[in-house]
Amino acid sequence: MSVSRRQQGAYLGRFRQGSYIPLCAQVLTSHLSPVWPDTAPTAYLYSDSALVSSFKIPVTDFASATGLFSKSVLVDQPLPLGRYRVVYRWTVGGVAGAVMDSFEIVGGGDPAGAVISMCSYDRPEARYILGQLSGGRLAQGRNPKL
Amino acid sequence: MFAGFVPIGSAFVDDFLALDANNVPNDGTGSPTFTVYGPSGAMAGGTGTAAKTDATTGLYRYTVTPSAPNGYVSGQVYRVVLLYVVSAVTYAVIKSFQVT
Repeated sequence: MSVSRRQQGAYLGRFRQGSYIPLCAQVLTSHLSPVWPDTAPTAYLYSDSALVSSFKIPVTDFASATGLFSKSVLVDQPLPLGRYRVVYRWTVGGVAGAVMDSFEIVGGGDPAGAVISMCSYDRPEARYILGQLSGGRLAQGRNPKL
Repeated sequence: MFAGFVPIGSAFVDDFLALDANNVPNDGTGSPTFTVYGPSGAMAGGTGTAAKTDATTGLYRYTVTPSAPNGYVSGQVYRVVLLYVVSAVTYAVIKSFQVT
């Protein structure tokens, strides 16, 4: 009997809404050596009940990391709470390969992401605050609130 | 491979890849089987078969529901040994989960 472990990947952890999931696929030959695939790997994201989405994974470091692909995926509204598996699939010389990771979306956080910069300014009528969110949006606040 | 957490009494759904000797995904022969092991051995009701997740070659799904009547305890880690056959060779995949 042979024990297959490497291709079952890793448990990436628990993530809140608004955080980024670091997806990473190392493409390997059938003998587990790093290699460039025929095309970029495709990630297939599965919930407990269905295939949620699929997308290509871009190369990480073409110059010095053979076969390494990675992508950070923002946990936003399309991903409800629960466990997920991500299956990276590729072909090398027409031969299929795959590896699988898993992660969990837990409660908390904000789908728009965390505040990564902020500024405030005072006006005669109110005090304003403007924040840049990691998801790319701007958020503003006003005191007193109208 | 650690596969995640599951509240006691809830279904733990997980997938795994069946690979051949060259690490190529393969549907193999028959349905993969699994057994759940706790600290004292195989768990009551902890056996079953996995089914294809979808049309993806070699991708299988299994479901375990850890319950108190079957001896599962919150905080304990359990191992799932999955067996499948490709070209008359039996392969094993070992996964684990923690009951919360």
